[in-house]
Amino acid sequence: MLTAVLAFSLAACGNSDSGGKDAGQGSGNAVQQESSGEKNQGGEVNPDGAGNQGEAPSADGEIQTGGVFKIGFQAPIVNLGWPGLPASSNELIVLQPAVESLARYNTAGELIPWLCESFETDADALTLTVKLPQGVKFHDGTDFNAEAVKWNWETFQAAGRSEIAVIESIECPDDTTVVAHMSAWDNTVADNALYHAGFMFSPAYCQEAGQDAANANPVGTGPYKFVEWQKDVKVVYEKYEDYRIEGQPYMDGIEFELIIDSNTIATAYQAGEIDSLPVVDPNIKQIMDATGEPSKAADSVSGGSSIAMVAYGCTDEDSPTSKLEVRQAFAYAVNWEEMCQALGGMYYTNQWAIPGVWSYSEEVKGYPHDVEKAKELLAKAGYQDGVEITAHCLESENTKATMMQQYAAEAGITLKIDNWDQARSDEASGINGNWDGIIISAGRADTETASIYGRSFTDEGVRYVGGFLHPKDLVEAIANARAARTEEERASYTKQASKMIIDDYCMMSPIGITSATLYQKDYVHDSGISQIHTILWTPEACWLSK
Amino acid sequence: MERKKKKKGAAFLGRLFKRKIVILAAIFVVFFVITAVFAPLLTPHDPYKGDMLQILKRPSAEHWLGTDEVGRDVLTRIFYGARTSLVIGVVSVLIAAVIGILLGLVSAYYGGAVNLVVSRIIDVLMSLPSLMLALALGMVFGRGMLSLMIILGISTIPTYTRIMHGQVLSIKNQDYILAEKVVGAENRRVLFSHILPNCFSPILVVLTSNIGGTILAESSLSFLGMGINPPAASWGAMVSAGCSKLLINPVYGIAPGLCVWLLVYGFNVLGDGLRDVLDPRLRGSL
Repeated sequence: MLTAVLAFSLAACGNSDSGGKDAGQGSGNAVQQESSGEKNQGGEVNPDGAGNQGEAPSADGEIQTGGVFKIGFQAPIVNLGWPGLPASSNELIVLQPAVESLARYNTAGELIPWLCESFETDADALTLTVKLPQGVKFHDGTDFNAEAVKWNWETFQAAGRSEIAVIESIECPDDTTVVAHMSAWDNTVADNALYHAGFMFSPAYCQEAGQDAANANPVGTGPYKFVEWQKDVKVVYEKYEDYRIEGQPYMDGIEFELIIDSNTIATAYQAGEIDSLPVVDPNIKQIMDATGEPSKAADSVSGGSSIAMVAYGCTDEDSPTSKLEVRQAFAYAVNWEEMCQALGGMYYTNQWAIPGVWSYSEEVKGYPHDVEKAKELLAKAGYQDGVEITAHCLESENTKATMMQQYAAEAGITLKIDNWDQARSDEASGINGNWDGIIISAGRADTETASIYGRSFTDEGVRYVGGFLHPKDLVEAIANARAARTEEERASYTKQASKMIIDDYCMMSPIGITSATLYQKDYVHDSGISQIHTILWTPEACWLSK
Repeated sequence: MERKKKKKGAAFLGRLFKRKIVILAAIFVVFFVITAVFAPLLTPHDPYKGDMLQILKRPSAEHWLGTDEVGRDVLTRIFYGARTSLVIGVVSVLIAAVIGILLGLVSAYYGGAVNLVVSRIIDVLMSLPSLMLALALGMVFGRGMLSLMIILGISTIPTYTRIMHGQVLSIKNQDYILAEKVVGAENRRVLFSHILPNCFSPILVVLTSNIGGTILAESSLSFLGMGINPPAASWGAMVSAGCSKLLINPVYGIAPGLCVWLLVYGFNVLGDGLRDVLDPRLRGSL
């Protein structure tokens, strides 16, 4: 039966793919993406492969119902229930049992309809048109309709999120159709509007409860209803009996156990108190490696990852890193590949892109470890006797900082570590922030990188924007990549931008991309966690055979 | 005269080390002082340079206590951590003692407005828990060894001021001090030549015990991320980092914690031993 579900799911995605993806495939620069209408056994339109992790079904081959799925979570949760506020991967994972996105990604990294029925982008008309299903209701009993989508997008913009800034107006011709009008063509609009801004919260509940109360009580259309959130303890969901897909969900509830300490959460998992550990720090990975437990994350997970990196402060003239040669010297001094391996839990890349995907440029040379070259560049910059650079980072990044300190010392660079708290870090990397030296931090790593670059290397950016340069050629390449009408054009401009960021201006040095990890008991099936996307999972399809 | 002094010294040491527990405490302290002073000779490893291919290794013949998350030898870091702890412990206690003693001496001797101002400042400092005060001062002075010594020094000033204040009040009206004043001795001479030496015994006891307390405070601040900057070795920072690696290399987190305990215990028991020797009323109560 599970095979049948998989077959139906794949068939559904195969059909939906036929319309091509945005950026101009198909005729007339208008592209359409719709769900096939084929429902699997449970009435589910399942993203390609989502929720099929290969575990064996129960002994009799039937999906079992009941049970509470307990997921261990290390990261603190702050926002859950207001459009635009849940921004971290962790918050988005935790809210998904109650709040669904308009679209999900399949294994090919393509966006396919989920809560919406179909979507269509038109580069000539500068529109994104989304068709919605009829009869879907939020958990508070109000209708999920075009006005709800409009309110969610507008509230997302009002929260200061720049992902859908290109949308200048939204109209609702009828209850099931939403048309977003863009100020200029942006081929990332579908990804941004249907995924990043696509998590749909009940407007009625949010407006009635107010931002603070609603933010602590996510009300969406998902398979599970929010029950309670004990700060830093747990988030509890119960089965939503009137879920839009008949027969689902299968379990009685989902609980996120919030445990920050690595040893405690690993021990709780090993003792069977937790069924799944989806997002773990390197400590847990090392503990699990030591006990011989393999990660069950799929190798193909490419979306929603994060990249550990060094951001150079390029604009503070008093800082040595304002000189290109110093930045390049530092980049040559550190053995990034060795450091990435030593840190564990991540894989190496020489640019802000995921190796192997269309946006990754083979032409980026990067900075292979070369101490002599680093010394030469330092001398060229006037620092033949060495230079001191300040490394700002959170306490949790001290291991990386200490490793860099060792490498840098060999080239004559003294790296002074300055630990910031989260507020200071946010301030420096925020819209009006700036910094001297380097910041050791992390950013988003996705297949589509032009919009990520836009957030940091252009005047409209929101992160690291004050410390990075905004050279005209780079800004143009990013704008061209976002406005491209063909995939080839888009890839070409994106790669140009990558090369400029790394080779020409050396504004950041990647350390590595965080590998998806998942430690999960064998009796958990079809959770979809870390199978297709690092963030998106399939709570509606998940079931337990314990 | 010289012989008499030697005899007195021997008698003092004899009374101090009469109890085995004080001898044990002294051994702990001496051991860590030796490791701190001779650290470079005791280990072939560099405390700051690690081997990225030897990360979080368990104890072995090459690395007796294993390696840390950057591939550095844990035992070597412990030796150098002793240096950090002792330097910070001793220097910050000296900073606190010098300032605290002076304030207590002057305020109690002169009284009046000087006493009022000093006492209120000390009241304010004492109203805050010392660790909280150190954390708050850390935000002002920033991180680093010098900052840490100043922070911990400031946070323990009230102890010395209060003790000195009480001692001076009990001494300043005694006959020999009054006699000194009558013959026209300057206040400075009275304070430093007559009052201060006679108040020193309780200060010495507190000073010794406070070294232990300060080492503990330094470790606590380092554990909380407010201590010295990496890559300098600090036991508190090692315990903090080793905590999350307990299931991988338990020795990494436990060994520096044990060192903190032994050294602090050593100083505290030594302090108690000194108190017993210097205060005959308490003799035998350790």
